[in-house]
Amino acid sequence: MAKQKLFSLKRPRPRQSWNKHNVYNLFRYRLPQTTGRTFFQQKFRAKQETRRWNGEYLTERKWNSMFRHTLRGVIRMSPAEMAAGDGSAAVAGRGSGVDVVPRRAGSGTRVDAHERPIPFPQMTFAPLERRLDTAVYRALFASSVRQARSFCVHGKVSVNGKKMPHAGYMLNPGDMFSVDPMLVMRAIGNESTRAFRRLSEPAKDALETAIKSAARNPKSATFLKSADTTTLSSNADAEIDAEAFTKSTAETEPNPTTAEAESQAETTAAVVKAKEKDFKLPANWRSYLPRHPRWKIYDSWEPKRFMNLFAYIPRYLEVNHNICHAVYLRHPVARSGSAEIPNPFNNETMQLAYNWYLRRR
Amino acid sequence: MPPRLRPSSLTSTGNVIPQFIASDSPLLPFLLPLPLRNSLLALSRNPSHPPSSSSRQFSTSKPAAASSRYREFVKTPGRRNGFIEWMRDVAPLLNNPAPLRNIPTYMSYKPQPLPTLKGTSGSTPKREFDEQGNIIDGPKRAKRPKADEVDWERAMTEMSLSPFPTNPSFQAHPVISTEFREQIYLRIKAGRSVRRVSAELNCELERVAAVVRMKEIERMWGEQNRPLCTAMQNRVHALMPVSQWKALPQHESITDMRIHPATNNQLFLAVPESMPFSRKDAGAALGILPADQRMPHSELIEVERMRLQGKNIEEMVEVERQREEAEFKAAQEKQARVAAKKAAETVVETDRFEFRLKPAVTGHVGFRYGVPHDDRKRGVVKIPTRVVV
Repeated sequence: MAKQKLFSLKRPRPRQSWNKHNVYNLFRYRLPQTTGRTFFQQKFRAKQETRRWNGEYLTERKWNSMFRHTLRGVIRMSPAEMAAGDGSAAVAGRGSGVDVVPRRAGSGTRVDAHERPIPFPQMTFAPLERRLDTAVYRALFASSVRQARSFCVHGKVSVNGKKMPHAGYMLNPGDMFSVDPMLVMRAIGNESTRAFRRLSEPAKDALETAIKSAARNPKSATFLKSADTTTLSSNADAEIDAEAFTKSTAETEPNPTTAEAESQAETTAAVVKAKEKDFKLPANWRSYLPRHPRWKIYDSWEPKRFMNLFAYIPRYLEVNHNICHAVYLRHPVARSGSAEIPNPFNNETMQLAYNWYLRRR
Repeated sequence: MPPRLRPSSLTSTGNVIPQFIASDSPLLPFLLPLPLRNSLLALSRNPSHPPSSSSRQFSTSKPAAASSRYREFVKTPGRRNGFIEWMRDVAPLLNNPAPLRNIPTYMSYKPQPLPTLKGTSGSTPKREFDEQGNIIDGPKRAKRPKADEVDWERAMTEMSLSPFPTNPSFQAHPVISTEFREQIYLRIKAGRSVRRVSAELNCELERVAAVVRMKEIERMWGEQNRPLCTAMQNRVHALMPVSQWKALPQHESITDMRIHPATNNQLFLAVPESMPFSRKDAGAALGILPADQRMPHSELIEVERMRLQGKNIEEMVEVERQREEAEFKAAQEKQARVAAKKAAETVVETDRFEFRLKPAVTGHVGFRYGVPHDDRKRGVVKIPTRVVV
C-alpha cells in the first residue's frame, strides 16, 4: 500500500472513513468544477475525485482489471398489472403503446411507470463492493475500509466459517462473513469503551463457577493448587476490574521470604473476611476462564464519534451485530431513482468517471 | 479577460463583502466572527439588497465561478484550515451517538434541531367539532403541547435519509429490526417455505434465507453459553432507520427484476401492426425467458390472475398448496442428485485441503499436461474465488 496523506486538511480528499478529519473534509467537500473545462479535463478530474473515495489503496492497474462496463439495474414489476394483461398494450399500434390514462389536449406530461430514471452511473465502482474489505466496512464492522482491510490481512475475518486472509476476495452471493465481535466492538466503539476493563455479569458468574468446580475436583487438570490459595477479594456483585485483578494478583503473590508479602496477605485476608462472600481467586485465574463466554465482552457499549453520519447498511447486505455476522445477499443494483452504492458524488461526476474508464475515451 | 467597464483599482460592491462570504460555503456561518455573522444573517434576511460578488457594478448575474457549487476548493479560514473552529462549533451538532426514535442524523449542511410543536400549533390550537358543530371540550379534547415538545410526526416526515448532501440518489434504506428477524425465524421454523415467508413479510428471498442462517448461529451461541453483543446491536440500530415489526410489514419490494444485459442493445424487429406483441414474444425475440418467469415471486402473477377471475379463497389456497408441494418435491430430487454425485467421488481431507477425487480418463484431462502450477511459487498469490460452505 502506498503511503500517502489520507486526511490532509490543506488538500482535502474524500475518503471512506469515520476519522474526524475526514468528516470535516466531507463536510466542506465540493464536487469538481466542469465549466470551462474540456471534456477530457472533466473526465480526468471526475476520475481523480471518485478514485480517491473508491479503493485509493488499489493501483490503477488493479482497478482497471476489475472495471466492467455492464452496470446492474433492476425494474420493479407489478404482479397485478402483469396478471391483467400480457404486455401487448405497451407496444400496441405502431409501437408507442396505448395510453392507460388518455392524455388531455395541451397537457404535455406523460405519466410513466418509472418516473425517475435509474442512476446507472452510480454503479461505476460496483465491482469494488464485492471485495471482502469493503463489505466488512459496509456491514459496520470497521470504521474505515483500511481498517477492514487490516482485519482481513490479519486473519480476523472468515468467510463461510473459514479464515480468509485476502482482502481482495470477491464475495459471491450467499457468502457469509464474520469478524470477531470483540474486535468489532473495539473498532466501532467509543474511546471510553475501547479498553476492556469491565467483566460482564455472565462472565463473572462463569468464572466463579469454573474455579469452584475445579476446587471441588482435585483430579482435574485445573485443580486449585495449595500454593495459589491466596485469597483475593472477588465479590461477584462487585465490579471486577481486569487491571485491578492482575495488579492485586501480582501484589499478593505468595512469597514466604519477605515479611511484606505476608503482611499484605493478611490485609487481603481481612478484606475477604469483611466481605460476606468468601471466594478464593488463584493467581492463575485466567486459566480458569472458560472459552465461552469470554471475559472481555462488556455489557455497555457506546458508538464511535461521528458513527451516526455513516450508519447505513446497503440493501445487498444482511447484517447481524449480535454475532457480528453478515451475508452478502446479491450484487448491488441500481433501481429507479436510487442506487445501492454509498458515495458523495452526483450522477454527472460518476458519468464522467465511467466514461474515463471505458476503453475508447 | 472580458473588458472592464470599471477599473479594478476602485472598490466594487463585490469587494465590500469578501469573495469567500458570497460563496455558498456551508462552513461560513460558523467560522465568521460574531458581529460579521449577525450582519450577514441580516443581509440574507433582507432580500432587497442581495449580496453581490460581481466585480461589475451593473451586472445582476452572478459570475459563473462563484454561482456554481462546483467551485474549486479554497483555503478555509481559521486555525488548521478551520478544523479547530469546526470541531468546536459544528462537530457537536453533527455527532449524535443516540438519536431518538430511529431518526438518523446524517451529514447536512444545516444542522437543525428536531421540530417542536411550539411553532406549529402553539398560539392557535385547532378546535375540534362534533357532528352537531359544537366545540368538543373536556377530556375528549387533545392536550395543548408543551413549549418544547418534539413534533415527532413532522420529524418522521421531514427526516433526511440521504447521508451525502451532494448525492441525492443514495438513500439509506431501513434495516429489519431484531423482532422482525425473530418473526421470520419463527415462521421458517413452523415449516413454511422461504418463498412464502418472503411474500408474506415483503422481504427479499435472499434476505429471509440469510436471516434464518444467522439466527441459527445466534441460537448455537446461546447453547454454547457464548454472550451476544446485544448492547451493540441495540445502539447500532438506534442510529439508522429500522423497519419495525408490524402485522403487515412493507419492508421492501420483492418483485425487482434484474435488467437482462441482452435488453441493453437495440433490436429492430418487423412486427405487423395488427398483431399483438406480448412479453412472451419480446422474450423470444431477445432469446431470453419472458418477464413472467424471470421475475422473482412469479407465482404472485398467478395469484393475482385467480383473484381477477374471481376464484374463491379455498381454490386459491389449494393451488398454492399444490405448487409448494411440487417445489418441495423438485428440491428433494435435486438434493438426492447432489448427494449421489458426492457419494461417487472420494474425499481425502487434510488440514489444509479437501481433495475430491473423481474418476477420470487420461486422454480427457490432457489439456493440463505439462502446464506448471504457479500456486506454490513465491510471490504468486492465488486468491480463492469461492469458499464452499
